[in-house]
Formats: sequence, C-alpha cells, structure tokens
Amino acid sequence: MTIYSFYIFDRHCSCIYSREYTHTTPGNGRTNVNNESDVAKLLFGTLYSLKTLSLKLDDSQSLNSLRSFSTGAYRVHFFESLSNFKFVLITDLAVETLQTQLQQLYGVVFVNNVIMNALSPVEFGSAKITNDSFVRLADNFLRLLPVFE
Amino acid sequence: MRIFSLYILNKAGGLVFQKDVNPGIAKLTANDYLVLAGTLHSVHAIATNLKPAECRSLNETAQTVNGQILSSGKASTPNVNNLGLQHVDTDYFSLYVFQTLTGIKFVLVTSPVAKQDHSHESPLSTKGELRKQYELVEEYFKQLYVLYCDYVMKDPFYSTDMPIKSTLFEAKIKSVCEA
Repeated sequence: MTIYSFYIFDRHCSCIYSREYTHTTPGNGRTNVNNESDVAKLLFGTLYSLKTLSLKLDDSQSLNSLRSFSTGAYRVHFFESLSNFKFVLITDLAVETLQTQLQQLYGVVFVNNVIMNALSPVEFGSAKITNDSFVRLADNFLRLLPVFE
Repeated sequence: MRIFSLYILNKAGGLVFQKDVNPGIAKLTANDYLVLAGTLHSVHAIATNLKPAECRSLNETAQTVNGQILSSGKASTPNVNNLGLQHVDTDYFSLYVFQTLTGIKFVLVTSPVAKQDHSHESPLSTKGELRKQYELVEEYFKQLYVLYCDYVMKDPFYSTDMPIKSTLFEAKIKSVCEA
C-alpha cells in the first residue's frame, strides 16, 4: 500500500497544490513542482470527464459523486468539497477507499489552515498553496495513515 | 452485484452496441451514448499516461506482452491494455472497461461496491471488496467476449466496426447478464 501523490484543484480548474512522495529513493518528495505539468492537466481532465459521466448516467434525484477510478497500475481517489475544491490522491491498487480520510483532510487540515487563514487568497488565480503549516500538517496527516507506506 | 448496462466500443471509440439489461441508470439519447463512448475511449488512453513514476508494479509493457504472445502462442490475459482505465467507482454505480486484443472495448455498468459503514471505518476493514467485485466482473467479460466471438464475429452478414444488430446476440447477452 503506497500513496504516490496528492493534488488539490480549485474551482477554476487550476492545480493549487501538488505533492509527490518518494518511497524508493530517500528524500522528502517534491511540493508544488507539477502544478503546470501535463500530468496535472491530464489528471484534471480525466476526473472532470468521469465526473460528468457519473452525473449523466445517474438515475436518482440526488447527486452522484465520483469516488475513485483505477487502471491496472494505480488508483485515483477523488473528493470534491461543496466549494468545488477537488482533492485527489494517487495510490497503488491495494488501497481501496480513502473517502473518509479525504474528507478529514479537507475538514480538519485544509479548512483550518487555508480557508480560515486570513493571509490566504479566496481565489487563487495562478497562486499556489505555499502555506508552511498546511504543507506540514497535510504531510503529517498522510504519513500517519496506515496505507501510506 | 447487478448489471445495469453493457456497451461495446469498436477500436476507434465508436459505440457499436448498447443494451440496458436491468433498470438502475438513466436512459440517455442516442447522441449522448455516442459522446459517452468517445469519452470513455479517450479517458482510457489518457489514464495510461498518468502512471506515477514510482509505480513499479506490472512490467507489462507492449514488448513483454508481445514477447509472451509470440513465445507461448497465447496471451496470459485477454485484456491487452492493462494500464488503461479499468474501473470507475461512484456512489450509484460502478463502471468496468475491458479491452480485447483487437482493441474492442466492453464496458459494463454495475451496481456499486457496497458502501462501507462509516461508523467503525478503517481502510483495512473493506480490504478486497473492490478487488472481489472486479474479479467477478472479469468472469462476465470473458463470457461476453465468447458470445461476441460466436454470435457477432461468426455472423457472415456482420461487417467489422459497424453497429451490432443481431437479435440472437442480444438474447444471449440478456440471459447472461440477467442471471
């Protein structure tokens, strides 16, 4: 069980936070390096298409939300807040559900350190989350999950 | 697990067969089904490229797969593009994609994997639920592939990549999926 990376997208489709974890090589991984890369853009596009697809095919009146998608090599866990912040975790296939963990990450770490932070912008534009306390707490949160390594 | 729908896509991403076996998901217009097929086709291809650099599972590149087929005469798994999209999990349905050696995609929409109880949740408690359902669906894919070969490919009046109109095939699909 491994968590490979973590992305946050805002409601204007831009990647405001990207975090890659390293497991095989020593080191701390990279923060906010991949925000403008094709990987982030393709990931967003994929999630966006699958989200529309799941809304379209839904028969019930309530909103159907995408939980995860997987390929033969990795699984992508998805959670979207009501304010359209999208939280994305890429893990290996052994990790089957991270919905509650993503909700906690949003409710506890993100809301307290980004939303309630007076210095953090409401609309990010081309800015990224560089807030140290958020980065540190989000890292701690994910590293303490039993599925991290 | 209940099967809601089956779609078959040709190698260019066009929809050649669509059947709602059990009620459970919304009915779309013919055009929307084509859009859906095209979306799945492209997402399947894009998902292949999103593989994390550190991800070291599966050494099934095109070369090793082809080498295996040449040496043993058959593929170890009928699903050629293992790195493409396989499973989409949402609150109300699960969607599975299976690609054959010739690039045809079978898409099954089923009931979702049972939602886990959040009260005493731990990521390990539901271990294997998605995997179990995936293995079940793979069995269905194999059966459907056999039916496709027998009733569509062996039909002398069928031209490749065109919509499937065979009533016999439809009846067989119904009997497999409704069980």
